[in-house]
Amino acid sequence: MKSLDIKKYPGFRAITLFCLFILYGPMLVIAVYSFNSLRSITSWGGFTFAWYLKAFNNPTIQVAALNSLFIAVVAALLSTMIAVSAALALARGKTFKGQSALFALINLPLMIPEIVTAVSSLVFFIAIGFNLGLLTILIAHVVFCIPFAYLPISARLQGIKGHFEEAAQDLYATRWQAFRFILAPMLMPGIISGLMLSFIVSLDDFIITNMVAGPGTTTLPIAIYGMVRVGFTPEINAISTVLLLTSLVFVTVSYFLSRNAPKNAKTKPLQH
Amino acid sequence: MNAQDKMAISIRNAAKQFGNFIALDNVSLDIAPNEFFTLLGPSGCGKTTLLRMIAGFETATQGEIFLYDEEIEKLPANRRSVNTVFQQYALFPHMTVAENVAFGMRMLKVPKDEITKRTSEALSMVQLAEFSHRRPSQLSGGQQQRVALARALAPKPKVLLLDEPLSALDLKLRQSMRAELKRIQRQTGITFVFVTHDQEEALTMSDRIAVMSAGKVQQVGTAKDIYERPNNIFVANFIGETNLIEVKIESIVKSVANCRMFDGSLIACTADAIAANIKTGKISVRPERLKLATKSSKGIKGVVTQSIYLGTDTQHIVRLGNQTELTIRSQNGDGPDANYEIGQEISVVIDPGVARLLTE
Ligand SMILES: Nc1ncnc2c1ncn2[C@@H]1O[C@H](COP(=O)(O)OP(=O)(O)OP(=O)(O)O)[C@@H](O)[C@H]1O
Ligand SMILES: [Mg+2]
Repeated sequence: MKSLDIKKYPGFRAITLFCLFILYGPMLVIAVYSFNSLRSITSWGGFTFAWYLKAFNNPTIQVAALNSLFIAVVAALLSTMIAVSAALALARGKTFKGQSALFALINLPLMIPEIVTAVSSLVFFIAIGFNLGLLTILIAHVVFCIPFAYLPISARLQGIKGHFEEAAQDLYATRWQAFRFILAPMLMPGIISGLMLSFIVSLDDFIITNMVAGPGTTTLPIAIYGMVRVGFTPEINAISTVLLLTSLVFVTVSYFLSRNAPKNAKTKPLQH
Repeated sequence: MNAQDKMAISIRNAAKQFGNFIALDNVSLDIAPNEFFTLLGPSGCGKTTLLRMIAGFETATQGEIFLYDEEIEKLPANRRSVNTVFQQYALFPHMTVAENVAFGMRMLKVPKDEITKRTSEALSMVQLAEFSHRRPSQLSGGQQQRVALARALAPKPKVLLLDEPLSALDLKLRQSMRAELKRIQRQTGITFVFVTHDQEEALTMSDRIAVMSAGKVQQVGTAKDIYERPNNIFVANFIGETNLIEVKIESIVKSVANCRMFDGSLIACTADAIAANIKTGKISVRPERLKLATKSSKGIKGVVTQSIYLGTDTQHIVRLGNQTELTIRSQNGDGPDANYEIGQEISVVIDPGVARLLTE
């Protein structure tokens, strides 16, 4: 249907370019100026790695980065494990009452304004007398990472049509072996995609983390925010660029994994 | 019971309910070792359900299942020495053909070199030795089918279950696979329980057939048994074609019934399949057992309404006085009677002993 070709709409190109520029222009500027030898973000003084070195040697950033990495890794692992179990229970188990309600509940955090989750988490932790710190950040992160891990995994699982687990059990595999040798490898792209997405979401989170961190515990986004408030330095450019690159790599890999997803899940016969 | 009497599979009063729906109703079956046993019946009659109960994927609502006298109903699927060839094959897409075939033996902890040996044996049995390193997605449908067969045979199960394994193949392939399945069954000596809704498949392949309908086993017997001596009207209708004519039963002596037809004439028919106190029933006669004769001959009077030339034989449709339509098939080159014209008045002759008295 040629008439619907979106490229033919008047102004399509201009509007697209404008949106892309607003979205990515600032990031590009930050990335470029993180290599600027001057402290300015308006004039170019030559190429340097100095800001990266300085950022890496900054003890505040070091501590924050380690905290962020630790939380992101553990939160990604835990939330993915929970997401796998939830996806299996919802897709493979016997249908039960309230199944679609449960599905909605799992994915609700995606739609609730983050500030609401943040405030209610804070109130909750204080109400039960929990000390704010690394552990509260971790718990909060696990919770809001679950839907991000759940979506690619359940999408992958839905693409797996057929009696693969039954076939495995028929061939003397226990339920665990059927999962370990058959279902898990078939789900793997979804699992990796879920791990990466939840890792990135955790690494980048600011609002919730800021709320439940308590005094003295920092993660990278909090450290960056703190530094910006004191005064802008090119170190911030450098560290932001590192974060940007990490996100970019992870999201790209995750995208490619889910794109060539269940191609093999249902074995398609070739023509004879 | 001595060792020779042991049945490969023995199902005792098995029933299966899904909610209020009765999928299987008091099914009892004995399947002998080395037998090619077929479950035949229309869609929805419970064949798959019965097979899945033997495999261990469904639990019986009541009843028992024995595998060589061992009660297996309570065992999980992975502890039953029974393998399944799935209708959609369910080959593991992330494994090669050889890994697929080896999987069962791997789970049984068979020594490595024996796995290798038996894998290549199983693959050469289904003529796929040179495909062992391919992925399932790189095979044709027929080849995938044979991998599924090799995978299920390699662990040497006591019984092999096959759920409509040929239904996804085209006609040519299906016919050659029938012969191949038969050969493999004889070669391995493994008991096959084969599910199909295709009566031709059932008749040509099976040692014995269980005809099922609406969750019940209607009749068990050889192809010849169920074709020539059906137990009831369902079986007579489902296996091959038949003509049914309503009759009143005058008397039954030693399994021979004297029945009166709508035109007042009497006919003697076999009556071993009906209860003693029955007053009416239907006689069943296969189309090739009926004969046509000229109007003046003794027989039931009727009019030819259709005449179809089918190559080896000719099929006539005859309408009787009570509007019943009969199908009559006569071999061509059989003599002068092969040619009757539409509209012609004729007699239909039922030879003694070919009619069978049946009830629903
Ligand atoms: N899990 C289930 N829940 C409810 N009803 C079921 C379930 N499985 C099967 N049934 C019903 O039980 C009946 C028998 O099903 P089954 O699959 O055994 O039929 P079948 O003889 O194999 O038919 P087909 O030739 O179409 O494969 C059907 O009416 C089906 O709808
Ligand atoms: Mg079926």
